[in-house]
Amino acid sequence: MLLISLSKVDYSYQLGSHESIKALNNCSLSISSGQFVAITGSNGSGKSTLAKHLNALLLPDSGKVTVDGMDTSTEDRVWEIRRRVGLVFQNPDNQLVASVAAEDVAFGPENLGLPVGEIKKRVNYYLDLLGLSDVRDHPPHMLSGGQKQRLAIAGVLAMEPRYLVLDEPTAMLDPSGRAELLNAITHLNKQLNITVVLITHLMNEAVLADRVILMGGGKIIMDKPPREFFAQEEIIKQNGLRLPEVVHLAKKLKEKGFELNQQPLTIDEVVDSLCGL
Amino acid sequence: MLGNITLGQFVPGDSLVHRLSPISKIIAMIISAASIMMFPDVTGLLITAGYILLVAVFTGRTVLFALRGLKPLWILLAFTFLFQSIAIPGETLFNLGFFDISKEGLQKAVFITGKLLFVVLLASIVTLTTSPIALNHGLERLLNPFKKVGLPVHELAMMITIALRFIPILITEADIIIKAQKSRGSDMTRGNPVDRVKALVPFIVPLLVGSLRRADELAVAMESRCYQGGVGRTTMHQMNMKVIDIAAVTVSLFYLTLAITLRLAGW
Repeated sequence: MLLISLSKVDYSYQLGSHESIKALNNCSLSISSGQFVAITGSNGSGKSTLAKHLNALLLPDSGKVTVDGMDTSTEDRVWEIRRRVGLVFQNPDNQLVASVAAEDVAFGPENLGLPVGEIKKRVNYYLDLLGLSDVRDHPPHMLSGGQKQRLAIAGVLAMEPRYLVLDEPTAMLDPSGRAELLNAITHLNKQLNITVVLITHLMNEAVLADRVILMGGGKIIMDKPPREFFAQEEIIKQNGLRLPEVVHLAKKLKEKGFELNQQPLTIDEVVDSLCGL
Repeated sequence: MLGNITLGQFVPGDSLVHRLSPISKIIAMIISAASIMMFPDVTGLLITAGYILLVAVFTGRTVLFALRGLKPLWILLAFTFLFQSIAIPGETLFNLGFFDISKEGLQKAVFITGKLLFVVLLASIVTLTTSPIALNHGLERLLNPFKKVGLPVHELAMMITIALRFIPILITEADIIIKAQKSRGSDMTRGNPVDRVKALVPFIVPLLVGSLRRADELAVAMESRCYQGGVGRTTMHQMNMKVIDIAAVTVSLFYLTLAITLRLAGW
């Protein structure tokens, strides 16, 4: 059974002895192998808390999270779960361990106790895969933001996980770093069939996924393929988010009387629709 | 303003000494330092000078940095020299106020100061030709046997790795904080010492809070990448002894033998 499944997960953060904040409220969800899922929501919607449940960094107060059939609350399965579910965080600086790019990629495989030959093979392969071969001997602080975040992804992929969870990976990047990273992520999903869970509050990124989940107040509010998802403008706006620019443009065009045959998600689709008139 | 701080004193290069594995460099350095200390008289000092010259030839231009690095040590060396020359009684050469400088004292002073100088020179050749990362890996490997007596070798090495990784980041952060404080009128370069120390507080506190936050995030990221301490961990760094490594250690052993022989024969 190759999937991550959450059933009726509740989780609260304790604030002092009496107060607590409910971050996840009865969340049920399953993510199967090979999917590209975007989880969106405004600040405090619970999306990062959800991400930390996927690799047993947080354990549910009630309910159950399983990864390929392994329960995250089973202590002796934790490390296997973390190997299978790679987590990439927002700030690239705070997740790179070594002061040389290649050594950072080696960190995960070293932790798994792999033989030297295998580690070297993986380091070379994943540096190359993410276009970092030229900077393999550079210290991370000499890399650009986009390069650092790709290095973080290479470091996680070197453990050959089945699932790649990215928690707002583009938040600290400039537009070119952002585009560069999203290309890499899409490539990993489409070409190498790695399951991607992208946590983001940017709708332009959510558009890239095969499935978009909206969270608000710790609950899963909507879970749909992108075309259907972005048709629900009211619900998206109620949850403090905006439509992606392309969808917004298409909507304005429709209002002006242009006929578009389906909900377009990329600028090319808009062009095709218009030219097909 | 903080950007020009360099880490360690590593000078990249391609000399023979640069290419030695850090392990053999450290071993050869320890053997040589022991030998230098063992030589009984000034003849040994001459032999040592020859030995250092040999090492210097194989180190190439980097050795100039080692010589430059001796500069801050001159007070220590001068003090050692002076102390040795007045402390040893013997045939008086000349008188310096209350103190007599003896011939034996002067000999001893040259001898001790020379030894000190050579040991420092050797040690700085090692740190100048080895990157801090390689040095760290070498030390971890060398100290490995001490794990059995409870020395947390892996943890120490990991701490050094993380420190090396985060020092540049914290320097950048410190720079930003200083600029932010200056732009709001703080000035830590003027006023009496008390004022200056007070002006440091709004600089140190955010830096400290920031690094604690970073430490927290890093710990979570490391756990996510299956870090469970040193147990069951492998390392990408193979430190196989190459021919030059064996040669270097052999030369230092030969030098040690010479020192022992002279010591036994000449005392």
